[in-house]
Amino acid sequence: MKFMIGDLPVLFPYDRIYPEQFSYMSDLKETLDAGGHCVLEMPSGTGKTVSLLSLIVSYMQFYPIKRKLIYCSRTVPEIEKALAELKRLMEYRAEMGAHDEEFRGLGLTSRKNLCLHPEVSKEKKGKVVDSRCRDLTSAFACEKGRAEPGSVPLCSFHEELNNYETGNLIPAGVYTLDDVKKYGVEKGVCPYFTIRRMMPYLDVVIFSFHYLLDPKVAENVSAELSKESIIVFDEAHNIDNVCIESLSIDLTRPMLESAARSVNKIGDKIEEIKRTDADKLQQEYEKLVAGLQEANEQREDEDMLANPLLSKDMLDEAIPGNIRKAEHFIAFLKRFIEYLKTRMRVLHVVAETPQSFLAHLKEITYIEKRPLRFAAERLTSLVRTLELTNIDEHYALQKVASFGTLVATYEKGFLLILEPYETEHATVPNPIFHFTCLDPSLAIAPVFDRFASVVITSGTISPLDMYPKILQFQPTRTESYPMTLTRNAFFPMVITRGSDQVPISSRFEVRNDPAVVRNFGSILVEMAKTVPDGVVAFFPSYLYMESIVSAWYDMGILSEVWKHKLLFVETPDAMETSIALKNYREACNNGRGAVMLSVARGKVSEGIDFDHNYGRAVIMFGIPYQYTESRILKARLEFLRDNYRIRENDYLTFDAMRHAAQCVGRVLRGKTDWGLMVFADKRFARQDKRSKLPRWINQYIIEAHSNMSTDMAISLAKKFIRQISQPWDHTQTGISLWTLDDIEAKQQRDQEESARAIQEHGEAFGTTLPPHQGSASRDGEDGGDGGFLDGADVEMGDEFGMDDEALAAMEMPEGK
Amino acid sequence: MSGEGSVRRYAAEFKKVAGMLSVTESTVAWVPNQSGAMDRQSQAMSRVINMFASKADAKKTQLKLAFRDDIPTGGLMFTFTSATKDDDRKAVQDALIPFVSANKAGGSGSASTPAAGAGPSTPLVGTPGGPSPAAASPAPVTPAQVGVGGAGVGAKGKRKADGSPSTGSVDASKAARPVNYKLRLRVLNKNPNLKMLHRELVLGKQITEEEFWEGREALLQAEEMAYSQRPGRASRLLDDRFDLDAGKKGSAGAGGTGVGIKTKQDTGPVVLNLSKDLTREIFEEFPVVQDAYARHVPGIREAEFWSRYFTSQLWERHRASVRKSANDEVTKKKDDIFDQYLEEPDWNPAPRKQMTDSVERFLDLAATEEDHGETDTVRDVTMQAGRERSSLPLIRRFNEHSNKLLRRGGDESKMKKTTLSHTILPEDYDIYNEIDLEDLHGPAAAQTIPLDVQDTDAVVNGDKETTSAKGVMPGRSAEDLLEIARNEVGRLQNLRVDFSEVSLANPLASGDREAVPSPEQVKQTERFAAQRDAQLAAMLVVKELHLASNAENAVNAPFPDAILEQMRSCHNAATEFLRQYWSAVLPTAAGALGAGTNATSAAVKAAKAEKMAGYLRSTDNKVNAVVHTATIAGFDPARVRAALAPTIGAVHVALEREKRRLANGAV
Repeated sequence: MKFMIGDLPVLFPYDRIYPEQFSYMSDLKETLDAGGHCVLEMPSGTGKTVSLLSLIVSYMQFYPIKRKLIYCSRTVPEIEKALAELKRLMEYRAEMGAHDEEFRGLGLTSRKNLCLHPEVSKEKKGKVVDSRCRDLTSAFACEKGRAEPGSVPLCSFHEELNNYETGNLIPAGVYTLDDVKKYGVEKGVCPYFTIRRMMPYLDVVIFSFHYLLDPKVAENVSAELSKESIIVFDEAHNIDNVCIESLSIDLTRPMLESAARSVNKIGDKIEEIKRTDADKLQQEYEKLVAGLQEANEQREDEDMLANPLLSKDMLDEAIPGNIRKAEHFIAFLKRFIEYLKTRMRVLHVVAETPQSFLAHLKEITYIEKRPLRFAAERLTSLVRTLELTNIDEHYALQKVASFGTLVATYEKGFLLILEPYETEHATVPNPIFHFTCLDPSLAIAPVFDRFASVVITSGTISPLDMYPKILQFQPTRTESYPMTLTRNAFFPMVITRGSDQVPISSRFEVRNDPAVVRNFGSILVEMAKTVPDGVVAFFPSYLYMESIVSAWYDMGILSEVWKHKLLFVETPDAMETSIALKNYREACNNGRGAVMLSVARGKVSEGIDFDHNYGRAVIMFGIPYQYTESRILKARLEFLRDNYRIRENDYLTFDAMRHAAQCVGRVLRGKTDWGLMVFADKRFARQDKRSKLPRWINQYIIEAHSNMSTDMAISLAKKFIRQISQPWDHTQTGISLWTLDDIEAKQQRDQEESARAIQEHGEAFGTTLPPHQGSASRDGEDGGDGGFLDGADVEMGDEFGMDDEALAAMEMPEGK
Repeated sequence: MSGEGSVRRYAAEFKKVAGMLSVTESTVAWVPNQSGAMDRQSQAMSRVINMFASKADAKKTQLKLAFRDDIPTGGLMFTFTSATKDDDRKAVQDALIPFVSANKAGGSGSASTPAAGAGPSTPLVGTPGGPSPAAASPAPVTPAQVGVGGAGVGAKGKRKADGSPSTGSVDASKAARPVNYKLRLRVLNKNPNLKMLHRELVLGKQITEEEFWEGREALLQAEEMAYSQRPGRASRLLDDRFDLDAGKKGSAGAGGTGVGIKTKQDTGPVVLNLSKDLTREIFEEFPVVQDAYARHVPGIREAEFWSRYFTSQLWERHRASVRKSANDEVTKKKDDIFDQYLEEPDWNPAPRKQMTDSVERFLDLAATEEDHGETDTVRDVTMQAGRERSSLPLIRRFNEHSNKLLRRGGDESKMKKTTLSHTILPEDYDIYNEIDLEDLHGPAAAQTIPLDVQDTDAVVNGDKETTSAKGVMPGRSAEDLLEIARNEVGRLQNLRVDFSEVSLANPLASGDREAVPSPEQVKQTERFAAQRDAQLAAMLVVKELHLASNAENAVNAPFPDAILEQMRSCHNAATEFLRQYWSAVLPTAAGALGAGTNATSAAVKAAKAEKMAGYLRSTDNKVNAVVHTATIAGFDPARVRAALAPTIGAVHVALEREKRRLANGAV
């Protein structure tokens, strides 16, 4: 359908639209008009991606300024789906007579996922693929290979690209990753480099967060993006963790060993070059004097050598004198590695700030902060000069160099933690040196600085005020949309105790209690009996899932499950899990029914949808809290408290609930879909937990369903399934489904409303307001109960002022 | 050897005691030669439900009889001992065959009637007077009675062991049957009503078999599906099914995880009953065992092989349990067969088994991992997958097991098809399915059927006229109507009922009866009398009306069975013809079974419609015949007519239409 938002004609590829989608698009347009950032929460499965794309594409094509859309998602499946969505949108637009002939949209992913080279693509590890690809495609290899064919192996797919015109390597249009791959097979060109080289010419780019947030990658991939670009972070509920991960580095002892070996090897190589081709090193030295910028030209193909972000002025600086000479730099690295090794020998936990680390480093080894900052860049330059191949061997060394650069660059918001033992009970030391980022805003700051409009959106980012706080930005708009339903299509319920009235909880003290394990098991068995087709269950951690699965088996619970459904379990291996998922879906399709056990925050919980028959019930066993004994988490909590006044418990609950919501939200797509959402933990009954769930879920949890035993829940579930399976006319419009007329009526209403508001305001104060502020008091039907809920609950939490563990301890007697 | 009269005797041993087996019309009995050596055995013929004969060339010539309800338990086994033992047995078998087949088919005790013609005097195969007509199923076509007489089939089946040649005619007639003959048979047997209809119409040669089944394809298909559905493999894990406590009542019902096999050692030797199915499943589940079996079993005894397997470490590994007691490890003895198959448990994060890279992109978790690159950080302990090493092999077995169960249903070929090289989607795959929000599509245009309305103009115009003359009193203005209403209301409000006006007082009531009535009084009296008579008459009428209405509600005498049967058959036939007729006249629905085949072509359908119309025309006559029978039987023919009126009405509608159709077709 085609409708107007303000002066903007929007083409939407369906005949109907959900009211949520319309509000979402209106708000999005306002944000784009204002040129600001926004945080929008829209219920899972109500077509967020399609609304977003259709509005932004309409926006881009309607206004004359050439803007680009950078759409970031979390996982490859989601990227692929977003691309498919875009492709279909463009097909629809073409049908409707829109003129976007030169429109280009592509997605980017790693070489491993795109490679067509017959041998390289067989490699299992992405790192190895990258490295081998570099050997075949790097500038010096190509130069040599072209000069005298056959001397150096080259990749024919890469070479073939040279026969195409720059900026037109692939015909205009939208291609999914698989489309590009197919095109590559057809034409014999490399899909990866096709996309990479087309980047500057694209209207829409879809890739994962890392390409924008991880400074090691971002500089290469996203450097040329114009300031006018519109940035979208979809499924952004986990964005702070991505930010933190991208600036954190962990070092282990084997890695240091490997780095030391690499240094020696490179040292040998330098000796050799010195004898054969001393000029080369001299040239490099001269370049380095001139500054990094020059030394690092022509680096398109070498993003695996990428380094943490350095500021512009640093790039112009000359490399410090004491590491300019290759052999000096090698000695420098050796010393640094030795120092780290010595630090690792300590058998007690150490936590220190970067400053204190640097001070100690200087005291022992005389390594200064400035040269250390250039370590990574200098290494890159050296690797290039030496024309090293198989650089995946030197991966550890690169990491050590990056570590040095990061330590020397950031003073605030980081912490160094040395943990000699993996777990508390371990007796054999396995030291890990964490350089951990505590402040997610550091990684995302360049994005907010550089781009005018950043949209952060997801199905589950409640409470909304948390994100602007921890990411340090000012949104022009934060909005959470309720879910309008003509009938209750999903049924959230909280099970707090088993049929035997023993409370259930994944709290550490009781989680392995046989009564709790059995009660969790009986929920699964009963659900498997009651619910048709697919059932998904999530556990708070891998450790818990793996221990509970074997316990269940020995209790005979899984045999019960097998009577009704097939059973699949997430495993550590991604491919293995994918195949399990595929079989799971097949079992759901052919009517056999299946149960999928997986982990919140795990591989499956991110990016795999369990819509329709693939998930008629989702069970959340316990609350997916992070591992609270983790020192990194503790440091982070402390940081949040000191800097942003976010209390530890608030953050922990917020974090757990967003993941719980993410898990249960995966069962819905569209409003004809239905499913049960089971929260199995007695702590879910508490208001402070539930209030942190997204509003669209929380609004459907009624008090009577928030504290149930297993048998009650099952009988209600049966009733629900019977009800929901009755024939229902899904075509009725007006409430949860709008036609074009409904949109126009709504716009009419809004206009009158705002006119009246202006008038009233004028009457009251004798002044006039600009019209758009009037319309901000929108959506009378929202009920107005939402927005303040979270605030109220935070206050309630303040009154109690005690943490989770303390509360849990108090309830202990009652449990016995 | 044969006895006199209707009793025949044969020398036969029972439980190694010599004796005499006698067969009469109603009983089969065995008496020991030495009285008292063994109990006398005697059973009614009607209870024999099966017999088994030993092979023709076996040492002993034996015949085992099985009886209804398995009493005596295990049946009776006789060994014929005379010189003509083979012939003896054959004679007994022949005598018993009719009974056995009748008892098998008939089921209920009423089947004991065959005594009529089937006697020892005519013991040969294919006795027409055998039990077949008396069998409980009245249908002309039942499994036992197809083609040759039931006895023949029984003889053929049972006597195969004796090497007697099978009757060729049976095979021939089988070959001539339509493909889904058996299917139809099963459907008919399941629905007695349908069977009856079938008997009337098809066997009554009114319509052909094919015509009868047309439009009933769904029934056949459902039957076929139900029939071809087989119970699959048990879904429990293999080792979980060794439920050692099964014999003991009251033990935990949950079964075990095979752990029991070990614990039993305290209480004594463990007895495992390995069925063929079980061993086959073990082989399927653990191919290494099959390998070992193939290599070693001729060498060692099978029992030994299995007992060694179940006490070996290999079995311990195969058991899907992480519960492993330390004792077991110590007491475990080395086993030279199975220990060589031992391998490290599959408990590393990466599976030992090579995974095929054939997952759709939107399920590809590995792609995401590669896309994000190796993380530079280590996840905390609880979130490291695969840390609990011992449960990993277990989890892998679960996935594997579920996968196997899924593949049980066949469809291997389908699996193969989707494995395209390296995550490129198959051509026909529609990724839009994964993202589509179906309820956002507008409703599909409704599939309308254009009505074949005669006189369209009349309908439209008539509609106009009626709308113009609407209302209770057409042609009056609103004011008029209001006025009328108001008057009426006033009239009703002012209504006063004075009963003295209508009811006359009894002039004689005043007490001056003695006095000579004055002429006026006489007149009054007459008027009063007239009124009284009128009252009485009215009363009578009302009473009669009451009686009549009561009589109407009274339960009618039920139709006599014979007439009801006729009516039902007449109705059923008409309904079937109607069904055939309409299905021939109406266009075939697009998705219907058999659509697009030859049977649904226009010409065939037209011919069929004509034929059916012909049948329908005779309905009136049939009804008249029924009415006639009713009249003869002294039953109210009007009621018969009334009962069949809807049928006739429906037939007339069809015939009316047919007439029009023909008229149209002629033009």
